[in-house]
Amino acid sequence: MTNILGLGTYPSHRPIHGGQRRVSELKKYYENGGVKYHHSSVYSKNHYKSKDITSIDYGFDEANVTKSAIPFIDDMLSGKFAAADKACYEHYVSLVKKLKPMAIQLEQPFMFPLLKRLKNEGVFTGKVIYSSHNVEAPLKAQILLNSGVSRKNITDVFQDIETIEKDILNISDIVISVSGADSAVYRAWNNKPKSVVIANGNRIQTKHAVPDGFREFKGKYFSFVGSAYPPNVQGFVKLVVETGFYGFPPEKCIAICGGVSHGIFANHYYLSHADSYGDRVHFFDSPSDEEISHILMHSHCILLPITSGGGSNLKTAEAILSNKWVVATTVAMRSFEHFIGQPGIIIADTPNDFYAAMQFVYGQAELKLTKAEIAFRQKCGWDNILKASNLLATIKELAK
Amino acid sequence: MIFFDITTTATWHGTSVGISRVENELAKGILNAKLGRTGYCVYDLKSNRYYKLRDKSARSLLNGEITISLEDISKFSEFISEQKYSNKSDTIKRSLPNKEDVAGVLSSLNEYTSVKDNNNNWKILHLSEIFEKEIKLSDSLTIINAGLDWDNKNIRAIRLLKQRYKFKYVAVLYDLIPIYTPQYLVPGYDQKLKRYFGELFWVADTVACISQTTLDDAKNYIKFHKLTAPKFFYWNLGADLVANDSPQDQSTWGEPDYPFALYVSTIEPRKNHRTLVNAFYRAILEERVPKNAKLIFVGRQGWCTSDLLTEISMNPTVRDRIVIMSGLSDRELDTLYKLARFVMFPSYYEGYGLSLAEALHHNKACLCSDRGSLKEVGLKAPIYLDPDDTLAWAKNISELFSDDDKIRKLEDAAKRSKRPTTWKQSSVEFYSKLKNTL
Repeated sequence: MTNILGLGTYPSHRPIHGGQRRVSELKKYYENGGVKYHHSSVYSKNHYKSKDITSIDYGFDEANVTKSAIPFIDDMLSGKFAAADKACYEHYVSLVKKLKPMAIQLEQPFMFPLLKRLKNEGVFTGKVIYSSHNVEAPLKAQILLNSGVSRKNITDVFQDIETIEKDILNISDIVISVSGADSAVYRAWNNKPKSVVIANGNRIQTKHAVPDGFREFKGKYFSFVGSAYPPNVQGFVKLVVETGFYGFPPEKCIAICGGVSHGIFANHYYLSHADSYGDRVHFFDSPSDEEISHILMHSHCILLPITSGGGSNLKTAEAILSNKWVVATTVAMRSFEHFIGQPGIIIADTPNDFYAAMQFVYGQAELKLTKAEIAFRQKCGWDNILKASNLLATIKELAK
Repeated sequence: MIFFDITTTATWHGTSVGISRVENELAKGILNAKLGRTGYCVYDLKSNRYYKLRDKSARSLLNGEITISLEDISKFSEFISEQKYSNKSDTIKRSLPNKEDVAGVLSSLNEYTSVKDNNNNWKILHLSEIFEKEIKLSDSLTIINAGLDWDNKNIRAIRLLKQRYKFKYVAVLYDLIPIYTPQYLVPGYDQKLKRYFGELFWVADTVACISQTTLDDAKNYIKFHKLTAPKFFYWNLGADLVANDSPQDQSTWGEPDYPFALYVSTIEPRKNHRTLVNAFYRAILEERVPKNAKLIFVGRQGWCTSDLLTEISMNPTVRDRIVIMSGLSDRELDTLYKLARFVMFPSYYEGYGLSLAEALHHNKACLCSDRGSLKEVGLKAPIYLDPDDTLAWAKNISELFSDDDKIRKLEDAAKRSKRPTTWKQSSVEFYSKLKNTL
């Protein structure tokens, strides 16, 4: 059986955030196609508990590893740690010797220092698959810029990551990108690896649970689901909160779900209106998957106010698959461009346009799609996306 | 039953200007409006309740004979919610021979307060001498609100009250500067005022605007947010500073004996004193104005203008030529209008432009910004200038200081223009239009 070892900076045993879900779906796809995929991460013990990990993951104490004057570079630092720390490196040496993988698949670029050492020391001599989740250097630079990090530090981090990404391309046999745009960037850097584009998809959840507070919603409402990832907060604040909610009746009509809740609530543009907005907005800050499914299933419209970030957005696929009204930015529709213009999908890129789109949709009845329109939307389900990618055939070809 | 909320007037210190003036004049006018049963009330921010004022105390408050504080309203609210009178007060009165001690101790008790009269003397009143009772809200009740409601009221809490009791809410809308030009606000006020307007249009049944410009802005806001429009109207504000029937004050206060141009306005960025300072400086440097000519700014210092005032005080060319006055009585201001060679109004935006109306009421030559509602108020009387065009202001200031014919023509134009309304007329118009919406 073809055997692949995946390396990343977070475990995927219990997928919660977008990156974990992508890894988990690839694993399912591989294993249904007869390819064994072992995913191992160098993770922070502060963020993940024992139920989140498997025996091949390797945990570290944050205080010793990712302490840095620059925020949001834990992933880079954990990659450097994996290569430099004696115990961690030995964990991977023995893992490679035990699994004898045909290929190592890097989930994002950050574990490259570990792969590089394994190769340099002859521990691993197989194929390399780069599973990109974004073109990381500009994305990281944007996050640091928005966090007030100095230009000098941003430039240093940007160059470090871009160097790693380019180095990975030099040794990769296959590059999996999340969008045509990302793929074009990689091909411009190095045209040698085989290129496969797999947009992020989603899966219709069948299990539902009613979250606390949901009964306050009596009528139409908008949903926004996002992690605490800073661009999620920034996008929602810029496109929705800054214009405000006063055009909507003072009753619950906006559901904000996930870690993004805290950043939105604490933002000046929200907090100054907390009581008035609180009549309209309800935060579900740590809903379960089942609760999110319930919220989305009963939504009138799903919002995707994404203004930065690369790659493709799992939340976009989730919104499209819901068969609900969707108000999204062009950025949110990256790698889902073929859905632009579909009934019920409205693109808005400025605060005024986004607000006008929300107002328009709020005045509309529940979205009714034809069977053909629903079938078209199903194209962004994980199964359809992965099947269309032909990645398994490419990997089996590589294994020969 | 219609109540006029006079919270702003009741707690206002000094001469009524701007919003407090409008609230005060309209409140006085309700007595002649033939609206059926009417009364005066105040709002307590802490308890979210309206309290009826005794007729006598309302009259004293409106005439500026006494002033209360927001805390007094809250004290009354607590006082009647506890439903108990202190029986200590008489004992204390008896035991404290010194009058000031009595005042201090009694005012610290819940049911007494010390109020200041218009001679700056303190007197002690029992709260029940000022306030009568809590107003029982119902669908047969209308409350007119024309004050500084973003400061003195919790408009969201009032929305919830209204949801429950279905009373009618009439709001006077001065402008939508916080929405359309928030850069001119007191720093930090932008979100506070955005919240006020955001809630107001979910609360108000009738919105009375102080100009067509404000009405248009309000309608644009409603359209943008796709809100259900309340009933709207606009009416003209009064422009007479000293009512014809007011007692004559014979005192003098050292009126200017030099030629001067007048600008009456709070000193704040939107009012654009900067253009006048730069233009006047230029005109002096080029020796285009008489050596004794001055600018007089009348208005308190607002926000974000310290640099400008420092600059004026440090500029040897203008520091003795720009006079800043504040706290003038109506009569003193009236005198200044009469004595001014001409009046200026370079503001970037106005919801109305009361000082322009006052200047025209005095048949004065005016130089005026062409922004906001000012053309609506000034019609064809003033010379309109771009408020950013410093050179044009310098040229026109120079000409008006030296060209008597031009002054006369502009004064004639002011006389020929639509006669500015008096406050009595303004009030009649307001209630006549309000009646149609109730």
